[in-house]
Amino acid sequence: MKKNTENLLKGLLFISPWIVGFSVFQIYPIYKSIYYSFCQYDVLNPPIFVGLKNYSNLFHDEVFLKSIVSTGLYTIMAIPLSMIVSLFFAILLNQKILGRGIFRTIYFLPSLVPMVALAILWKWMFNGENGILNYFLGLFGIPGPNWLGSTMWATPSIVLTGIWGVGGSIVIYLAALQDVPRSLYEAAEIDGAGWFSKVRHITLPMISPVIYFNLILGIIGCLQVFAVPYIMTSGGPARSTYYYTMYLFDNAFSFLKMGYAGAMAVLLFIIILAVTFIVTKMTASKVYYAEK
Amino acid sequence: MQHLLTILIIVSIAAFGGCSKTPAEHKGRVVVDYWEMWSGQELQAAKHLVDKFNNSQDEIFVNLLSVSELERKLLIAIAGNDPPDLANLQDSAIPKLGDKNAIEVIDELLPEIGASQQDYIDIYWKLCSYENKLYGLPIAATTLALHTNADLLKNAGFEDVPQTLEQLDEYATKLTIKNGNNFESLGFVPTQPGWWNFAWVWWFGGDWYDGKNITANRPENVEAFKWIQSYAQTYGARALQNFTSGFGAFSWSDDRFMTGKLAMVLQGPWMSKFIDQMSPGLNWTAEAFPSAGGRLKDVTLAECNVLVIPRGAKHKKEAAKFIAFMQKPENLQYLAFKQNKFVPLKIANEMDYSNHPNKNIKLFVRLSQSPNAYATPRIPIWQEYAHEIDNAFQSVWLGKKTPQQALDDVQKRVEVKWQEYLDMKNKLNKTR
Repeated sequence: MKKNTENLLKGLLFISPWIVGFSVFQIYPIYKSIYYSFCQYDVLNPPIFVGLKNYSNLFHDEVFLKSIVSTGLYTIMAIPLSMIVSLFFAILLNQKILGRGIFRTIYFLPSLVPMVALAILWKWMFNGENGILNYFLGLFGIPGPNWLGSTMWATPSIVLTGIWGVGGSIVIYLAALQDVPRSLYEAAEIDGAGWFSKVRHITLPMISPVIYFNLILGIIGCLQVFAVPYIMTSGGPARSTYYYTMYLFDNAFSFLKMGYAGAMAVLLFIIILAVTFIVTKMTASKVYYAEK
Repeated sequence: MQHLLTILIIVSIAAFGGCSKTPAEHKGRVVVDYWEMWSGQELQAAKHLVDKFNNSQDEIFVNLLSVSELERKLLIAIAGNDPPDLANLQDSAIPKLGDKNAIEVIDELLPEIGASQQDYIDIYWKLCSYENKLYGLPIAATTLALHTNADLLKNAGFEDVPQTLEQLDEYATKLTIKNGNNFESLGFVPTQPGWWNFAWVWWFGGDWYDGKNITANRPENVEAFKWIQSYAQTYGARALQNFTSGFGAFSWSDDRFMTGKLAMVLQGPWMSKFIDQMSPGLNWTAEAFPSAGGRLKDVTLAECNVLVIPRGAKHKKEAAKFIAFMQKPENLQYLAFKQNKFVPLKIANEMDYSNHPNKNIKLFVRLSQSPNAYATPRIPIWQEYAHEIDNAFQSVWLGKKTPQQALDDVQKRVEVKWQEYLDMKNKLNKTR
C-alpha cells in the first residue's frame, strides 16, 4: 500500500465517528428536508409529491412574509447593539485594573445560564406591573410600558434579553485584543495618540477579522432566533414577535406540515447564504489580515 | 454507507438495548406502556388506579409514564413505529389524530370493553369520535362556568349573579376600582384566564364551523369580538394589560381571582381545588356563564380526557382490558373526584357528591347535558384555526383591527387551509 493511501485511510478512520455522525444527523436530514419541501407530508402518511407548490404558497402567505419582516427587524436591532456592547465590555475588561479576572467572570456568567431559564427570568423583569424594570423607571416617575404585551416594545425587549448572553463574544474579543502587538500601541503613544485614536486606528483594524467573525455568527444566530421569544411571548402580541423559525416550528410540529416547513428551511438556508455573501463582500476591504 | 449505517445501528442497540422496560418482578406479564398527559395530583390519581389494576391480576402490567407535550411526542413515536400501548389525550386532539390514522378505531373492541354509547353523556361520546368512528373512551369530564367572588358582589350591592351578558358588563363596571391610572381591582375581563379565546362566540349564538364550512366571520362571532373589544376600549387595553400581566400563573398564590382582585372569571370545576389550597376562606359561587341578551341557557364548553390506543401499539388487547377497567363507574368516579372533575357517564346525574371536593359540581354536570354545550370544532385543522383566532383576538384587543376585519382575515386564511386539507385528503384517498 502506498504511503499516501495508508495515511488517507488512517485519517479517515480517525475521523470516522465524525463522518458517521455528520452523515446521519446532518447530511441525511438536510437531504430529506429538501426532498420533503417538494411534497405534502404529515409524517404519518406517505409524502405526496406536489412540485413547487409549497414554495409558491409561501410567497402568498402573509404570516410568512410578516415573519421575514419581524425577523429582519429583530436582526437589525440586535446585531449592532450586541456587537457594540460586547466590544465595549471586552475593551474595558482588557484594561489592567485590580480584580480583572473577577470582572471577566462576572460578565461571562450570564451566558452560562440556560436559554429557558434566561427567558423566564427576563419575562418577570419585563412584567408590566410587578417587573423590576418598571419599578426602576417608576422611581424616576416614568410609567414603564407593558414590555411584552405591546406590539411596539416586544421586539426590543427580546433584543435586550439577548444582550445578556454576549459573554461568549466578549471572550472571543478579549482573545483578539490580547493578540494586538504592544509595539503598535507604544509607537502610537510616542506619536501622541490618545485612548480613542488608539482604539480607532490600532485596536479596531487589528481585530477586524474577529469582528467580522462575530458579525457573521451573530447574523446567523439572529435569523434563527427561537427559544427566547418562544418562551417569553409565544410569538405575540398579534404576531409581532412571531419570528421565522417559530412559524417553521409550528408548521412542522404543531400543524404537521413537514413539506411546508421543509420549504421554509430551504429558503432560510438560501437567505442566510445570501446575507453572509453580501456582508462578506461589503466588509472585504475593511477586514485586515496580517499575511496579506 | 450501508455498512456504516449497520455499524451505527449495532452500536446503538448495544448502547441502549440494556434499558429494558420490564422490571424483573413483572417477567411473565405483558407490559402495557401508558403515557399520561398529567403530572402532580392528577397523575397521582391515575397512578392509584394503575396500581389497583396491576394488583388485581397477574397477566398484564401497566407501566405508567407522565409525558410532557404528549401529543407531539406521541406523533413522533407513532411515526417511528414505537408508540406506547395507551395514551391519555385532550379531546381536541382526536379529529387530527383520527384523520391521520394515528390512533386506532376502537368500535370493534367495544363488546370486549363492555362500554356502550347509551351509558355516556352524549357530548363526551362525540368528543371521542371523528367521522362516525370511535377512537377512544372518555375518562375525566369538565365544563366551564362563571365563578364569582360572592363577598365582592355583595359589597357592591349585588344579591344575585348576573343573568345576562349585559348585566355582567354592568356588574363589571361597578366592581372595577381604579386608583388614578391603575386598577385596584377588576370586575371581569375576557382575557382571563385566556385559555379559551375561541369560546366566547358561543355565548352569542355563533360558532366556528357549521359541519361543512368555516364560519369565522358570521355575524354572531363579530358581535362577540365587538363585546371583547368593548372591554379594551372601556378600560383601556394598556392599563388592563398592565394589571393582568401582574397576574401570577393560575396555580400560584397571586392569581387575582383567589386574591380578590378579580370578581368574576370563566373557569372549570378544578378551580375549587386551587381555591381550597391558595385561598381557603374565599366565599365563591359558580353559575352558568350568562349569554348575550340572556337568549341562550346553560352555554358551556365541554372537554374531557380520552384514553386512546396509538397506531402500531404492540399490545392492543391488553390495552383494551385496561381501558375496560378504567371505564368501571367506581374507577371513573375515583379519578373524577381526585381530579375535581366528573364522570362522563349518564349516571353522573344521580351520583352522591357529598364527598366531592367541589361543592358546585352538580352545576358542571348539568351544563354538560345542555343543548348549548359546545366542543372545539371536530375538524383536523382546528389547531391552526385556533392559532388564527388567537391572533385575531389579540389584534382586536390591542385595537389593531376591527372585529369584522380580524374575523374576515381569519375566514380568508382558514378557508385556504381547509381547501388545502380537503385536496390533500382526496389525493391520499386516491393513493390508498
